[in-house]
Amino acid sequence: MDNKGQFDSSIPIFQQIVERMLNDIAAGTLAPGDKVPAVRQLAAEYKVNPNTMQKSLEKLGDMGFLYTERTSGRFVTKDAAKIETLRRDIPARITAAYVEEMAASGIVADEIPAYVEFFLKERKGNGKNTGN
Amino acid sequence: MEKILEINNLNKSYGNFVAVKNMSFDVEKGKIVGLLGPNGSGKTTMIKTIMGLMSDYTGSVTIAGNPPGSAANKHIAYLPDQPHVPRWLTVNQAINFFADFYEDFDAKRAADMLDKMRIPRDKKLKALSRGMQEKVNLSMVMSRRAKLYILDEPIGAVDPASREFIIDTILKNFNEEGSILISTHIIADIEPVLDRALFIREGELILNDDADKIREEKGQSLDQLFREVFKNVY
Repeated sequence: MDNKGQFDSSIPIFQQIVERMLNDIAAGTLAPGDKVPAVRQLAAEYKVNPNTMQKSLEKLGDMGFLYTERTSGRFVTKDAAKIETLRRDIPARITAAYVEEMAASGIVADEIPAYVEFFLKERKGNGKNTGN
Repeated sequence: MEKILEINNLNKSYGNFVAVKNMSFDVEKGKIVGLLGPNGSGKTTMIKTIMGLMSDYTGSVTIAGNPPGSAANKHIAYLPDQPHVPRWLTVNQAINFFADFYEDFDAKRAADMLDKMRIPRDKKLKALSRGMQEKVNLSMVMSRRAKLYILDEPIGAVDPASREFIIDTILKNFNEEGSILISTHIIADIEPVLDRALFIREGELILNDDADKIREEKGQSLDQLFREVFKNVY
């Protein structure tokens, strides 16, 4: 929630907003059928240009994750299958990037699961749980 | 797309010194544009020309369809980089001063903004800290319903927390019917709110493009690009 105002200014910002909102949809923070706040309000929350936010919302609309009801505003899709596919896409992408990075550091493929298990145990020990 | 500001082939010299050289650009309605360049690059001269404070220039400057002058100035809300509200006034008096001066000034909005910022309205401006004074100045300007807001170094002399607050205020009071021109050499804080970046070097416009497009093409932030481009100027 609190990293909203933080962006990597060397990458197009509108893309980063789209990614963030897709993550929120996948995580259910933006639940199916939820009303999306007005562009101006969102722009102020994310601390970005309103036109950039507009562009991001339009992109999410084009991707089918948001729909517009002319008089009442923008809403998150209720298409459960679409959201499920998204849910699987995001961890897949993160894992792919992680595996690449590990490989580039010289870690043998067989050793990777051990690293993952170690940190999962640590996390559980700290009282955190993965997933919802 | 309606153009709030149109500048065509603007040239301005002071004697032999060319301050602005053949500058041309437009600012469309509803956009936030960054006028980015080091000190002395010609930004202030350009702003003064827009404000009708410069004579002896060639080229054309058009503000909401008007040449620089009193008709144009009605449409411009200008935040200079020097304090401009008489400092012996109290904040409340300053609000009244602006209400008298400008038809499009929303006194209630200004008061609400200042209350939210917890600025004591009965105090004289000179009794407030520098940061608070900047906030007062900005609130006055953002409470006008103008077509063109020109903010000259709005976050220049202010601490990082106040900077964020000021940027917040700019975004919250963004008026789609108008446009904002931000002139600054402090890029990092301001870049996420820009639609467009204009880089000015020694009076010339060397870059004029959509902010995200620059990021995509150069693989850099505007701040990084600025440092690279103006490396040898200092």
